[in-house]
Amino acid sequence: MVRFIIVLSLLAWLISLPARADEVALRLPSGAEVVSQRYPAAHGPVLLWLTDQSGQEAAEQRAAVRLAESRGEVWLTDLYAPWFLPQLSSSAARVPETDLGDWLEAVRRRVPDRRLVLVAAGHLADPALRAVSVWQSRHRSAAVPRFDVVLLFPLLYRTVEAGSEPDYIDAVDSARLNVAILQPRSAAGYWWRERLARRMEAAGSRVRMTVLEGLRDGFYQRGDTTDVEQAAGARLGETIRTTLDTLIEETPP
Amino acid sequence: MKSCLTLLLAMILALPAQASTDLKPFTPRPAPALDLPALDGSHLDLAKLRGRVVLVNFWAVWCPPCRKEMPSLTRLADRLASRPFTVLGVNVGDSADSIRAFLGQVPANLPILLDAEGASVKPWQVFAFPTTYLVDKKGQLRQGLFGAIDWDEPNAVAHMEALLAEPDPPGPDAAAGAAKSTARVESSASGK
Repeated sequence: MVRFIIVLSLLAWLISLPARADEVALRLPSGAEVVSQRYPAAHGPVLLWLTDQSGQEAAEQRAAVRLAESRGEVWLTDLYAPWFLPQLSSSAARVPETDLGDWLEAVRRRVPDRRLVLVAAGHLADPALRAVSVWQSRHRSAAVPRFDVVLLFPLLYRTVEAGSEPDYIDAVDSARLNVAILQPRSAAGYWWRERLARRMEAAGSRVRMTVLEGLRDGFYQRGDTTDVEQAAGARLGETIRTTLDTLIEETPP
Repeated sequence: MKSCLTLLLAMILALPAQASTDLKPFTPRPAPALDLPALDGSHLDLAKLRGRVVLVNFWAVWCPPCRKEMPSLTRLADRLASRPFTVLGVNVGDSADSIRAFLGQVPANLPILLDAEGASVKPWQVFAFPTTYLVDKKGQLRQGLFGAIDWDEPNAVAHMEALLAEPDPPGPDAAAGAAKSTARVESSASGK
């Protein structure tokens, strides 16, 4: 009886441990090697989470652990390191397009039976959409479904100059997405969210927009976070899980 | 050092990658309408400021670069107070209480206009905060800028001086309008 209780306690302890990350390295035809921190989960989709210029944020890692425990596997992927790009927002547009398509192809080969979901924040929405666009253009002959994507405060303008209306990157018009956008209320993008949604829908995407009250762009990675933003950063995993549930429930594979 | 890094990151996040460092000249075109309530309870219509050079600054309390440039905007308004020049601070989306709380910390001697619903964002093409436009005496958009700058800089002041040096628009209506609006701006200038 005592032995049974000990074994049971041990099992409970093991289950309560956070998911441990390991590394997945995918070598691309160009020679670049894309390394992801993998938070494994036996079931559910694989979330390809593109990390931003500040590297892998603690909030993203915590969220990845939570998501791996409850919803699906997470690959936190630094998209700048393979091409030695500087840690600048402008680097997002410099990630080579062909490599993005090749990387998505390599991921598909590695996990052929899992549903893939791209997750990206801020300027990283740019390579996320370009990756989908390239991949879909290569598989045009097949019945290519919309690609599942979660975007947090996406920044998809080509250039922004006072006095003129900025255009979006080409991938906004070419990628067919099943996309959930989490748009903070305290951000310039909030006032233009419908413009972006209309543009994506015109390209055949399905768009779900959620406004995050009291938050700013980069709310979980800023140096000047408010109490509200810190609390929201701590709940990031739950927020993405809820978003994902809606995204996937409404569009079965 | 830490606070410098914090401010730098906040500014990077608040602005698009291509934030400018100087006003960009435009081919002159009529400024969009701007007719909004002010924080002090008055009302301000840009069309009634014809005959004055007007700096229109779109800002928000949550935006660190906007907060950072407010003191130098205030000093610019002070510096050119005796001239036909007006600085308008158009707050987009914040509550009057949060604006007052901010102005309690950073007093601003310029009219603060309230655009709670973002009605001005589209016609004025505000795609980032802060966004600033210069309107000439004829009511034409002449220059614009995304991002915060130091409005004490001689280079920045030179842009206003150049527009102030231009001839007044013809007609008695314009002059009368300018005089009337001077009084009106002064009456709503505290913004507190």
